[in-house]
Amino acid sequence: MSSIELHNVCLDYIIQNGTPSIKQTLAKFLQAPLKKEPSVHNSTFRALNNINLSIKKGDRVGLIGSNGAGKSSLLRVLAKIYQPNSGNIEVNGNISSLFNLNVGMNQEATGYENIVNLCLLKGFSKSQALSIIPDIEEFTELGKFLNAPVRTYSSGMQMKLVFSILTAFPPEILLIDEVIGVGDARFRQKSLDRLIKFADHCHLIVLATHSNEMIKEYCNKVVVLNKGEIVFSGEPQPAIDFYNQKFVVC
Amino acid sequence: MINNIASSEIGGIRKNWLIWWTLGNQDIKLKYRRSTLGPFWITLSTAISIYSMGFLYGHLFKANLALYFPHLAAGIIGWAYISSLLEESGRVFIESQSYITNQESMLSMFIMRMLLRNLIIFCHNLAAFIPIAFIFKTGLSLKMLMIFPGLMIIGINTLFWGTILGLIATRYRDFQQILSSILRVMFFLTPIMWMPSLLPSQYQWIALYNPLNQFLNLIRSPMLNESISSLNLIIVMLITALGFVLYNITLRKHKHKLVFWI
Repeated sequence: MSSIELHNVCLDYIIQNGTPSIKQTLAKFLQAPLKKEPSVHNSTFRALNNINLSIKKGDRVGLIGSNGAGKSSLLRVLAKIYQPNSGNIEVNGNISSLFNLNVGMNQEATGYENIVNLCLLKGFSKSQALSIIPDIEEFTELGKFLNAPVRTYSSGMQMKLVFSILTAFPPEILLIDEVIGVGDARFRQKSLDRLIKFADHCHLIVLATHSNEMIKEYCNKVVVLNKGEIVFSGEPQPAIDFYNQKFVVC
Repeated sequence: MINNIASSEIGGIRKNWLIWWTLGNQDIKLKYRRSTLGPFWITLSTAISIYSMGFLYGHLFKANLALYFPHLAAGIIGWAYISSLLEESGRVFIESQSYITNQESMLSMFIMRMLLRNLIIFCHNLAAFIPIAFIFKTGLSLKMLMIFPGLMIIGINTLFWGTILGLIATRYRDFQQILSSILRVMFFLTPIMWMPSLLPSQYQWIALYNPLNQFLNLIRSPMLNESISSLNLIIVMLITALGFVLYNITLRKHKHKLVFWI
């Protein structure tokens, strides 16, 4: 039974002021007995504040919010890339995440080689990786580009490849950041269809996006974030209206 | 003694072996993909440099070539391995950024990938040494098999110290430069181009207390068909134990911050 539970999760970013050189650290260390206030200090920035969230099997959650609202940070906390500073996080189920285009891509290797690499990285065997190749060839329509190094791909092409690999084996939990937007209209529709098709296999999806159509078409629950806090959570249409009223109005 | 993070990292080596094995091999394959000789360029370029240096320095130092030439060749090959492990440790996590920022990852996986690709290079370099062993008749014996435990110990230390150096170098970007300059100086301070026996007795400590020399001997002695001294082993073991303790501490304290430093 896959689920995600967050209780009072807070996340602080460590922001380094300028270049944190060894010289500065040494100076700080030597000055410590003399001075109360350190000359150089790292500031922190609260990216997520008191997040309480419960996502159950079958939920397709859309995250919306302005830039810097904490959508990506929340997704990365769910993926266990960022460890929250306080609060509890409980994730049951295996996670697959699609956050940016070069997710573990070896730019010098060919498309085919990267299919195998990424599958291995996700914990699948080599024979499983080889078995999804026809599916990926068909879905991405990349043709002979799959034999060329990935660095020669356009970002849309890379997107297609990554997306198709990550969705070839429906994971229990799928986390997607705003990247599908890179693809063309045809691919966006195709990928949405694919997501809908495997929604039955995939227990739980969290999707951050700026596209209202995608939210309306695909999600059954929406969370609105602002300055690291959840300001609204509920049905898609009321959430979008709330967001438009509060944050989009000029 | 060993904490959860460290034990899961070490366990991850076995669990993720197929990934680092594939990626490490791929690094070499991709680098030489469109060249005719492929990875044998490694052998060839090492051969050219050790043969010409051996010839030149052997005559400059007026050394006994039968002793000096194999010592220099084995030293350079061993040093190339150890120093590139250290130097690449500083870059290993920065290079792996696209993995670390996209999924929960085991740091040991990146270290093993780096170790594997360097081991492949080392094995190609070893091929350049074989003719020297025959020309100067260093002989064959079971002592040479000691290279396997030697490489194992170096591997373990790469995991411990490599992770520590990698974390420091990701946090402090100057560290990589410092590391490279230290290594450049250490090349001359380590008995590679000179025989340790040439040092006056009051300066013998330069070779003795040089940790890099101790690790180098783990490779060089078996290559030269000499046995590894017990003092050598003790020093190496102490460094390994210290590395293990620091590995545990750094992982526990700093592993979760790495993603913010990248």
